[in-house]
Amino acid sequence: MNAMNPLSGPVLDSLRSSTRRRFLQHCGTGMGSLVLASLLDEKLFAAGNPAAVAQAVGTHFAPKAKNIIYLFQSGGPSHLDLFDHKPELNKRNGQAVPEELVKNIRLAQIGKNASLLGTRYKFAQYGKSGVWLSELMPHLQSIADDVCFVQGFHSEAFNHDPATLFMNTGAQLSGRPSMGSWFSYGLGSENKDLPAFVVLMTGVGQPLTNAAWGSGFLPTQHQGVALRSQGDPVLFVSNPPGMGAERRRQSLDALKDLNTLRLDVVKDPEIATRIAAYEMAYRMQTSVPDVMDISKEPLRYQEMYGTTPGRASFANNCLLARRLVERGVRFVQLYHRGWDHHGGPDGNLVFDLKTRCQETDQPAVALIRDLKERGLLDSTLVLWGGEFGRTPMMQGALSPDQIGRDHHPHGYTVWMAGGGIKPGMVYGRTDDFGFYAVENKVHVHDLHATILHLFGIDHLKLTYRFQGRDFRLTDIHGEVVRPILA
Amino acid sequence: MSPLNHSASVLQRHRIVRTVAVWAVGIATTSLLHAAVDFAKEVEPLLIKRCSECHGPDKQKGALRLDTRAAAMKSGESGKPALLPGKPDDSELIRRVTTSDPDDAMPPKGERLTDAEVAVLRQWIAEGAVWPEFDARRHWAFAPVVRPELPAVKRSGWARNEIDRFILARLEQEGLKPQAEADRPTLIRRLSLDLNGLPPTWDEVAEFVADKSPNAYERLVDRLLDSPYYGENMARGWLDLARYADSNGYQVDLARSIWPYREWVIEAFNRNMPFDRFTIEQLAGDLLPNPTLEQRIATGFNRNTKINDEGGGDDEEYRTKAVKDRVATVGTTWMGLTVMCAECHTHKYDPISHDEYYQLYAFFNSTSDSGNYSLNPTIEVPPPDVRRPLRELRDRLATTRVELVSTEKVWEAGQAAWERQALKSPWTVLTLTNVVSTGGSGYTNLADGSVLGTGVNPIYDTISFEADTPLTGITAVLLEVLPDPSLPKNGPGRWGQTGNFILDEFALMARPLFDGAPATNVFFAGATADWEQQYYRADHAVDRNPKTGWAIGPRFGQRHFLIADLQSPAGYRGGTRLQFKFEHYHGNSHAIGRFRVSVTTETDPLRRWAVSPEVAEVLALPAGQRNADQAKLVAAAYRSASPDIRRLERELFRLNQRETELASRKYTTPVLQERSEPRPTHVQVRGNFLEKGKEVRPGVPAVFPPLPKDVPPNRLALARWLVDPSHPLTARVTVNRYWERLFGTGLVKTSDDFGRQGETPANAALLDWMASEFIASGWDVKAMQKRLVMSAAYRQDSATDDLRQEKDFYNRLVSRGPRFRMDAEMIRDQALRVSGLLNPEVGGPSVYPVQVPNLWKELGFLRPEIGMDEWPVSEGSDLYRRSVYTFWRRVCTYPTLATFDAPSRDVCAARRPRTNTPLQALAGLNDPTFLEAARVFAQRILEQGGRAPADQMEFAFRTCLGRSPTRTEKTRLMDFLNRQLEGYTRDSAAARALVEVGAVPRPASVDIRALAAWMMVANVLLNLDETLTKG
Repeated sequence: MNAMNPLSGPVLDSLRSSTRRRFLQHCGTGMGSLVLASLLDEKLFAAGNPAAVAQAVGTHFAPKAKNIIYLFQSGGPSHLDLFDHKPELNKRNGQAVPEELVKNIRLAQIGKNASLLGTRYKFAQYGKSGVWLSELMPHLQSIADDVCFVQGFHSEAFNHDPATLFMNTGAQLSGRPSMGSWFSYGLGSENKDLPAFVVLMTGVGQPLTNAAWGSGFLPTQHQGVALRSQGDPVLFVSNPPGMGAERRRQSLDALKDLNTLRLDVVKDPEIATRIAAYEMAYRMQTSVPDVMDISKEPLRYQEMYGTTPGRASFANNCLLARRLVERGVRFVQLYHRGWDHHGGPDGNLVFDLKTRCQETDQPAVALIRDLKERGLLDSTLVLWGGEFGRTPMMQGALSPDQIGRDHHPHGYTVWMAGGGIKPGMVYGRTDDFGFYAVENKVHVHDLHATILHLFGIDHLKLTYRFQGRDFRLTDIHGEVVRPILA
Repeated sequence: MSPLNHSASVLQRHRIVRTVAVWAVGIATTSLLHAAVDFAKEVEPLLIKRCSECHGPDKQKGALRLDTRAAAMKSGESGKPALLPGKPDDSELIRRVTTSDPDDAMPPKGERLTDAEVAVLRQWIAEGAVWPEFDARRHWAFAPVVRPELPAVKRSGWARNEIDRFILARLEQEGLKPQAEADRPTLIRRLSLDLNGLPPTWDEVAEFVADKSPNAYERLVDRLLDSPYYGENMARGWLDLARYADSNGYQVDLARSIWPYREWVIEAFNRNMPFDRFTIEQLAGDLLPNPTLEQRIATGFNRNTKINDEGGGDDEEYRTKAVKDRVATVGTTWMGLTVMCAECHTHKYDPISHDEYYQLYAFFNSTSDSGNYSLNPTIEVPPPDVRRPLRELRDRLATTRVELVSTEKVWEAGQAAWERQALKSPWTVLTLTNVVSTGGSGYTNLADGSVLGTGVNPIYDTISFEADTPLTGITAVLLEVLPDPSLPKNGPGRWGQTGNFILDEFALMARPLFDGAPATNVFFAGATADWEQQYYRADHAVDRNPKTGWAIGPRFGQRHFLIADLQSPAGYRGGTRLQFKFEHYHGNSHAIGRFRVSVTTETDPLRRWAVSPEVAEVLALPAGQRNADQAKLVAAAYRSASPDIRRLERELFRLNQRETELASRKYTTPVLQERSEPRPTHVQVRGNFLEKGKEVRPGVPAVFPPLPKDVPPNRLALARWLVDPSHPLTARVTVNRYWERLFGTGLVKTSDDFGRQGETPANAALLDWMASEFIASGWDVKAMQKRLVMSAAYRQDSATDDLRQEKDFYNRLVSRGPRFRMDAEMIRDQALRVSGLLNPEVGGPSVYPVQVPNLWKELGFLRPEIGMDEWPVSEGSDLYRRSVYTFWRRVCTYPTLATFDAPSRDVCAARRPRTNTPLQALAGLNDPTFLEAARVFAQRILEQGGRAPADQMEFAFRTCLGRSPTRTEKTRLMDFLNRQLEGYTRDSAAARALVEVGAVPRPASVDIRALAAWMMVANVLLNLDETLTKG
């Protein structure tokens, strides 16, 4: 093939480097240098002093975290039955909700005269922080000292679609880049054979829209790549039957040679980029199925996570998340559906809530333990949370299969571990009803600002110009929540 | 690069400019040592970003305002001057941004200013706080369009029309020469792709190359402009602006019928509707006197807004969102303005106040559509021409019937033998115990061994039950679903509207009865059923994928059964406990209502075919004693045991259903309709629809020419105002977009922002000349396209060299011909055209070309009752329509189009990004559409390319790229071909597998080994950079 090839390696390389030079000249300021961070040696991370790291990597300041695993619990888990212990609410179980709590808000489905509902689950205190946790999360109890519970968390939207978009893109309408896309844009990937932003889905319930992991107005290469648990993990990554890797390689060699001939004639550097894209596609054909194959993991880990190889499960995806992070994927997001417990047989606070907890508690905790064992937890942020919490008021009826709560964005809990977050901490609180966040409140935009901060990015400076405006993940808001930084 | 590179107004005085430029470069060099602060670049953005939220046009905290010099010079409440020119240390501004006193520190929120930012402010104040007053009216884009003089040029012989004079003047100024004219094959490919969105055929190339007449090029242009493909191609960009999609958006994202609007757009382009009329009909066709049906359809432009289908949404919230979307879309589409920035506060850069935003909003606030659930108002439109799809359907019906008859003939012969063995059922009915529903439903055992669900009807459910059996060597499980009068519509499912069910997963575990060993999984190899609903196959119940399942629509109210085959025989000596599980994830109460389970050790699938008790009764009678009905019953039972007959019957059923639907369907499209009582419009405080400010009337921003006084201020007046020749933006924005389509980047690169934050034009005089020409021509769209492509600038070769790369890297000066990757739709359409698959029909409802199965289900769209859970793949040649007709679902845009940067169409998109990614490579290589195109292209090469492989290669290359290969190219490809031929000759099984792809039949005469080898070549050709690129 080389004999055929009028443009040998060095010539191509020089063209590529001229393109890169152009890129630096023309992209100038902004995130240009940050985007290049991925080209640099990650060993810097382990050793150097913070300032040197920030400078070399090109972030705004020294990063604590390199990777993030976002365990998105879709539907809105009930903070009141899992994390937020409210004796007063339990005491007033069955009484009408105080009028002043509901007078200024809109509710999704229940009326403003709904009655208060205490939790039916036992709470106890765990770890050094003495956080109160419900009996439904026995595994989580065991790692209370690794986790920071943000209990004064609040959002704005009270319907699934806008609320999910808000948590993921900082805006309620679709069209903005998702958090993972901003990370891909800002920090790039550490693995040239895998995408920077990967999405995994399990469970049934409210539909999810591509916009939650879309790149919005950022270039398409930053969108989340959904790895599917059935069929091709990445669309079209498999060659058709009857081709095989060897013939694919031969055809890519022919393609490369012909493209190189064309490059010689028209000298458009875009051709060199296209050649590189096809080569990465070829590498993905091996690397993606390889990372997806969790059956290669030792039995010990299968048991620790509670996986069921060959079948889609949250546990499988947690183990997969660890494998992806090990390989340098920047942002791994797991969606697990089925937390929308309005009451009634399709979603209630007895059967369904318990099942969801059984599906998620063990694997999420296994993930944190596993990351810790491998020394990856310090540089990997794990975030657990839904698009909203649930109302202190009851929806449905009191029988076990009818009991539920409505959507509630005004105060709920998300938790984080690793990645430069202070471990073993409870931050903020809601009022005695678990209704409004009242102390050390953390808004969605604040969470976004804080996460970016952990990665060495100033949320005010990570911008992209679109329709005449410099857009940010945090819109025009956001404060870094410093007390929860380690 | 010279700092004056982008300065536009100086172009016409280029002789002066050159002197000035030298001077400016001199300054720039020295100023590196001691640069004066540039207010507009360094200070103003800082003030806007960090101060103006509280000290700006909308709010003046502490009575301080920092958005104009005059205001900033006054002191605020503190009485201390914010700015003292020349004295930074005495300026309160500097004290506040540097103080460590938390009560005084500014800005109070967010990070402190950096040292560098403070230094800029200091230096600026020290230098006298120079603050050039900005007059929005003098911003280049808001000034009236004045037709410029043609500039003088040296190589005037090069120019073919006025456009070239402007381009050449700019090139000469930079010391660049235009590139030579591209060769004819290149030109015809470029023109065909640009004007029709499709590559030329080789015959067309050959004809053009041979045409020696002086007007050959112009005649080609005219032919392409007259082609119906022209309208389809132009529509693509317009539909991005119009955010056209076939679904409602938001979470549930139901389908909508608005394709008549798309058809209107395509027709309007094809008939060359002048752009002013095009504008008026879309924005206000309903308000024209006696509007025609077409004019009302045109108002669909603003019905492409999203509608919420999720329960609990606030209708007014979503309605106001739609109105805001209309304001934003009209602002971007016609004025290239970021009007939406003024939704929450006065625009920070452009002269659009918060109040003026809501004046624009008022134009769109009085239509009768709503924000939730309903697409009304809609109007009925004449049905599309369904003759071709009907004919195809009926052809398929006929061939399927013939096939069924012949299959039945063969099958019938075995009936007597079957009857003998069917007399004795191989199935043992299990006694089901311990039936538990997680959803809380009750189950009652009935005398016939079946179980009936009662009480709570859960929306989702998991039902588990057990049975003991002494059998070993169990080979299959029979699940009978039975009707029952207590079930909705007689069952057998519990879905209230039909009696359907969806069995998402059917799982089985087994454990020995007489020792403590735990239960282990029993795996199924597959499943068959007597009836399967489309997309809900028996196999889906045992595929371990919770998102797919078995259902029986529309054959409700009767017995059906499913037979699940075990991977290996099950059952322990001494007895086995079987633990079954049904999983119903689909929601909306789709559980099975009554069922019975049996097992067998029989291995012959035919013997296992389950016979109902009624049939069993008849079978017991000697053949002679059966009446006609009974004989029919037995015959039907026997027929259903044939997998081929079942498949053909299902196919017939589906085709019949489709035929009825196609022949009788009514078609509607949403339109705009003004309410009889206009809604009052209030300013929304911070853009919050719940917080109403003062009332405003419809009106336009003061920076623009006013609305005419003598007409009512409604949408019609607004539309006419937009296309009034005095409007400074509409023509500029529109011709810039035409330029962008052809040259890759607009003369104004920010084609969606002509405001102060946008880029100044690379060639302002040219932009204004084109704008004035466009207006003068009577907004003649085709004439403008023609003028652009007739230019010498457009006809240049696209090759570049060191000098051009140095001085014109992005080709903004047009020092060479355009070269860039094609849009998503063009890439797919080209593959269809090259292979010969393309169905060239124009217009009609959206179609569903091949898409990866289950994509919608994976996103959680599990709603069969609303028909939005599975992509309903099209039939016949509808699979190969142009991409503009592909069903556009917002939450799940057709994957390959999205991968190649097609927008979701949630909102108005003025520009598509143009990325170059590995996912695109994977799509080009392995998307079944491209694979089928490669296979059919290979057939074409073998059938039409001559006999010698070298000729065939020549044919293949020409067909794909419109040119002959060079010798090196050809040699390389022939090597590749020979290697593939060799490989597939050795492995014809692989060849057979490869050419299996796609729905189009394969001629029996074709040698599959050659076909496979050529398919590999075609796959390479379709992925060449040159193929994907317009050059």
